[in-house]
Amino acid sequence: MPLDEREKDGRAREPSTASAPLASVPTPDQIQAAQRGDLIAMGDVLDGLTPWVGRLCGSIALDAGPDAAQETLIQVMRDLGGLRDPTSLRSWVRRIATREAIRQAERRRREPLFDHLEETEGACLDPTLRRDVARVLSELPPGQRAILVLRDLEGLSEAEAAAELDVARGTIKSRLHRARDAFRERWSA
Amino acid sequence: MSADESPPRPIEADRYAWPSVELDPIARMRALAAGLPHVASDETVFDAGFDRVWGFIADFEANTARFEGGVGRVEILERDGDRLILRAKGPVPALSPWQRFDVVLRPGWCLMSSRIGEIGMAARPEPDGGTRFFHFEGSAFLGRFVRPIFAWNIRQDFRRLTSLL
Repeated sequence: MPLDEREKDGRAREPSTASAPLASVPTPDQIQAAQRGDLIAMGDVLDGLTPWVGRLCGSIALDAGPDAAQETLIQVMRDLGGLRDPTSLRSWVRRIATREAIRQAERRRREPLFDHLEETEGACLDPTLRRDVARVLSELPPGQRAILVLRDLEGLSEAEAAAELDVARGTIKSRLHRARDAFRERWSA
Repeated sequence: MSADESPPRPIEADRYAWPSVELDPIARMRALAAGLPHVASDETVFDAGFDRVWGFIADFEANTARFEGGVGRVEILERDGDRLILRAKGPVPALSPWQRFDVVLRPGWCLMSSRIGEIGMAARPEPDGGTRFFHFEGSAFLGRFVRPIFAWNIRQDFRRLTSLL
């Protein structure tokens, strides 16, 4: 089914191939061992989550991305023991990362951008392109960046994105409309 | 919603290189330590380059007993990539049974876990020279109330390492 059709009926799309994969997807056994306090398993879970959290926080929080990523991982490791369903790890972490990235971005909104953006090996062949994406994203409010990332990078449905951001589906729809228009307009400027 | 009101088509995410951030080993180890309420942690900066510091730390059999007061001897039993199994005993052999440790060892990153204790060490180069070093120690088996002892032990480790590096 074309993306636009799936968009209209609000069903979840397959995650975009641009979405950063988990470096190594933590298995339920690893997650449960980590929840019991197994240090080596905790390290494995952290290894698996870190690149993906870095992409989420870097794209939403931009210059505040390092702080957002570290705060996200601190919350995740601190509260992992309370996660009831290990299979929901990814959505649980995504929710923490998205909210933390928006919060950190709002705090840093008036500070200089780009200072801490890192090049990720293999993710970008042209450093100029990365800088340009960061420039375009920096001209959008953090909330719009989050919607773009959740819908177009992470491949969430409207309902899922609304739940992540704790807003109504109608709000997601209107913000997404503005975000996509603004992204294209600024990209071609 | 009518067709005219449908959101614009998705931006083609694959076309763009999305900004990303990488966390250094110290930042990741701080996050890991947050999940271990029974450990004590501290960090310092050594006046030595990263290669010197990490080369010393990672040579367990030669050096761990030189800076870790509770260790008298270390032997590596198995090594498979970044995973090791080693055994260690205290400074008084007659009173110290061997303890087996599962270890993850990479540049700037070390986790050590046994039945009675958890240890983490991380390092990164400082921009103006020197090496930042983060260290946690604790025992889930003994619980939180012995954390001050581990905090004191970490300070002793730093003092010894400073003189050795």
